[in-house]
Amino acid sequence: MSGKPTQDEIVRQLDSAYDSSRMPTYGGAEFLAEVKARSLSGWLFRGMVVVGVILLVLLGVVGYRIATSPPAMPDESPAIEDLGSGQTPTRLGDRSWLLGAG
Amino acid sequence: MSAAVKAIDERKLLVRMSRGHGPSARLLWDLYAARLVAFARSLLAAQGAQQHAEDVVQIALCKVMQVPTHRIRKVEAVGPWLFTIVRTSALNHMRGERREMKRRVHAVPGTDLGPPSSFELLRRAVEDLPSDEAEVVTLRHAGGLTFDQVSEVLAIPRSTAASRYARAIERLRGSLAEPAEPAMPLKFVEGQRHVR
Repeated sequence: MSGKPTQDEIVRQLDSAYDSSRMPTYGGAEFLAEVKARSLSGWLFRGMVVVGVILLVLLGVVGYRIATSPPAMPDESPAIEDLGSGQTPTRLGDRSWLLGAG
Repeated sequence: MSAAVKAIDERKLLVRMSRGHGPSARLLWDLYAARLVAFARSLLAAQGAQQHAEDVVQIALCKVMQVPTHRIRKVEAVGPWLFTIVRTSALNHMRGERREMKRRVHAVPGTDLGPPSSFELLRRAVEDLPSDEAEVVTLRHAGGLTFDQVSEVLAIPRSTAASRYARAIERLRGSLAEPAEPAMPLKFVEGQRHVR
C-alpha cells in the first residue's frame, strides 16, 4: 500500500505549516533599532528646521522694525558756537538777533 | 476588511515605517517577518545559509526605509513588493557568501529545543527542494501570493511558476511518503544516495 499523501493533503499541510500562528517568531532587533535611529534623526532634523524658521522670523521682525522706524531727530537745533565771540550761543532758527533784539 | 483597504493600510504602514515610526515598523515586522524569513530561508538553503535568513530580511527592510516616500505610495501590493526586495537581498547575500559556502549543510536542529514539529519538518522539506521550486512554494503558501504575483516577483512566466509548483508538490509527496516504500527516495539530499 502506497503511503504517498495526495496533492491536496500536501497543499493542506503546507497551508498549515506556513500559517502565521505556527511559524517561528523573530525579534528583528537590528531592524527596529535602525527604525529608532531614523526616528531620532528625523526628530533632530525637524527640530533644526523649526529652530531655523524661528530664527528667520526673528531676524525678519528685527529687520522690519529697524527699517521702518523713523530716523532719530535731534530734540534741539545744534548750537552754533563760533559765530561770534562772547555771544551767547545762538541756535539755528532763532533769528531774533537779526531783528536787533537783545 | 477588504483587500483594497488592507493594501492601503499596509502602504501607510510602509510610509510611516520609512519615516522612522517605531510602532508601524513593529506592526509591519509582526505581519511579514515570519513569511519573509521563510521565503529567504528557501533561497538561502541552496547554500546552507538558512541561519542568515533573518539578517537578510532585516537588511531588506532597512533598504525599504531608504526608498523615497513617493515611490512607496506607488506600490500596488505591499506583499509581493516586499518579497521582491527580500529576494534581491537574499541573492546579493548568496553572492557574497558563495566563497564561504563550499558544501551544502542541511537544516540541523542545533539550537532547537526538543524534536521538530511536523510543520517544522515540512518547512525543512520545502527548503530541501531545488531553490527555484522552493521559492515558488514559499511564495504561494507563506506569502499567500497568487501565481500572477509569484511570476511577477520571480520575473518568470506564470506557466513556469505553475509548473515549478506542480513539480515541487510532486517532490514533496515523495519526500513525505510513509517509510513503507524506501525504494523511492524522492527527497534529494546532496552527497547521499539512497542505496538498498
